Amino acid sequence: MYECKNCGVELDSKMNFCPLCGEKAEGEKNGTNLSVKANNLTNKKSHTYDLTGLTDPQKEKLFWELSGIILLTGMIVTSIIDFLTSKTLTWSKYTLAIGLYLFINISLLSFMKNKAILMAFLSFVSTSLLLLAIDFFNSNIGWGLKLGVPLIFSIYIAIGFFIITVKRTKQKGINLIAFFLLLSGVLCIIIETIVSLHSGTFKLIWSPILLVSVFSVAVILLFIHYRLKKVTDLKRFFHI
Amino acid sequence: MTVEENESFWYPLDNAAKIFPAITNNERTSVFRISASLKNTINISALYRALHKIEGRFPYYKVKMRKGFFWYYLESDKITTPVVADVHDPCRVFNRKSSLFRVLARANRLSVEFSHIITDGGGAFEYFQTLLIHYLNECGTQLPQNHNYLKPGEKPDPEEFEDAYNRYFVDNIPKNPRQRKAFHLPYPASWPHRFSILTAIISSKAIKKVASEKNVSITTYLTAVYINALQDIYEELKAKGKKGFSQKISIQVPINLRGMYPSKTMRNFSLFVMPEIDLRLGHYSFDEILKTVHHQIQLETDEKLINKILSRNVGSERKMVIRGIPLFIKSLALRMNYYSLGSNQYSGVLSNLGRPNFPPEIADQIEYLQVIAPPPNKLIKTNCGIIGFKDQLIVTFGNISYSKELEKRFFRFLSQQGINVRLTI
Repeated sequence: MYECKNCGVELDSKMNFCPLCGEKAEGEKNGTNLSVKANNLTNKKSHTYDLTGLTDPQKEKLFWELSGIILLTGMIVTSIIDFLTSKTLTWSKYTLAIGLYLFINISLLSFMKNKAILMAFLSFVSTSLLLLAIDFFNSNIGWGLKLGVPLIFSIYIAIGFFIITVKRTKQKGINLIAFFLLLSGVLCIIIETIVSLHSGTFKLIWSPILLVSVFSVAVILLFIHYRLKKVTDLKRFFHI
Repeated sequence: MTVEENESFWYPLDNAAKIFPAITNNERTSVFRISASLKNTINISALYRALHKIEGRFPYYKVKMRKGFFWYYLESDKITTPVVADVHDPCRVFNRKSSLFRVLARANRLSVEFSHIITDGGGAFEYFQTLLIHYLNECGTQLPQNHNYLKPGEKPDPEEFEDAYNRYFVDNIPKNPRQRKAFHLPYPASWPHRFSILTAIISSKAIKKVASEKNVSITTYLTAVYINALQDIYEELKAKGKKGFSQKISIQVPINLRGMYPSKTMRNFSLFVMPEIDLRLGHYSFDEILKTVHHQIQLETDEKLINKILSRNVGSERKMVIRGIPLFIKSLALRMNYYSLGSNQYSGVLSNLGRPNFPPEIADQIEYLQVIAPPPNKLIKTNCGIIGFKDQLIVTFGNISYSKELEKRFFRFLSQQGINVRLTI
């Protein structure tokens, strides 16, 4: 047991921080110095793989390191196998690109949580580069820049829009499913527009039907959520 | 109201709670505290385990306040009990969007602070006793099987949720006459308000002895000591030629109605009696104060008179004209009339919480208990919270002025009666 220097409360030996004030558990130990050392040694032995004592940033860093090692090993192994069998890099270019892409995005998630817009932008750039790289590896017919990047851009915008809507919605429930359906419908219109423009003629065939379908489902969901829930909410709000 | 576990619910504020949202600010927090100084340092893991165990037993405190069009109301929320380090001034205000109670820990002192919006001393004391029992149990103290304490697994009785004021309301009760303005301590209030605390531990046996010699209760005796101290201050000011003070000393003494009306409610269910002396009639000896306070408390706690006060309070809230006024106008009116209808009428507050009902195994782990009444406003400036524990009576004065004159006179008087007063933190 340790004693928090600020609050003076006892902390279990497993605790790294005082949950009340955040002070590091380095205060006086109840008992002799000898028993502190003994206890520390026992702790080291019995908690070698105990991750519960780590803080969230420590856990994130550990996850980043582990995934980095796994991806790097995978990239090296596949490249060597490919090189040994084909005397050049053929299919392993894809695993290298995808491995690098995953590593960049895991790094972004681990270290740029507080800069959401920059993280989303860099993630979009990395995804676009991945598509361009795949296009380049795969006979470079140009679909990456004309089709891949605009599609990815619209998907990122849609996801960003959905996240903002979820955050700003006070009553979260089936209304979020409705928002998701509506957004998917609009996204499909955009996708078909981009694809049809790429093929040379602008023509919408399947996406309007999909939009109308999801719109009707979304309206029902929104009605259930707001109208039926509002009945009780109004009763509370206007209780007299 | 029946509430299943995890079921969401809401309820309007009870009659006593209705005024608090309107008048609460950083100084008038309407928050009171009950503390226990334990024999051992608090073990934070055991505290969390105990809180986790008892959380479901008190769903009516896991609420947040919301604003309606006509009234505020309380809505259930899946909040966990906030536990904070006890390093600030006591009885700090609760954020409008936060939980309305908190648990505090520091060294060997465990405390709970409750907003009067959700409960009174009676409800909070029940919660605190349950928390202490289960905390000490988590620390290794064995609990007796036959002792009557709230068990974590039990379902809360629907009656615990009730607004008991409404249940015991009787219609068509005559109005009470408006009270005269009371004398208030003349010392300036600190600004910004610094809420200082002075706690004294006195022997229960000694105070009981002097009170029973006069055939009065401990609460009556201490109320009389309070009035006597205020009278001394008033007379000293008068002797110095200072004028313009009201010539009535009145103390607000909360009465727990659970002892008079059968109700298990854990929300507010208390009223006040206000024994007073009229200084226009001349100087009162202590025995005279004691006599008049005793008879006034006896009279005012008569069931019919309590009924009258209860019905008057609830009655005004039930009037359609008042109910139909939008909340922001009601709040404005309550704020404007807060002093004239409330604090103007009394000089101080003395709240006696009684004694806990701990099994001996639990009581052995506790040094003493303490209750701190909500910070007084700039008119009253001081108040007094009392709680009994074993052979001790713990008297705590809260003060927002620069002067400790009242406390000095109060405790000096007790010492003069042969009662040992030990000041503590």
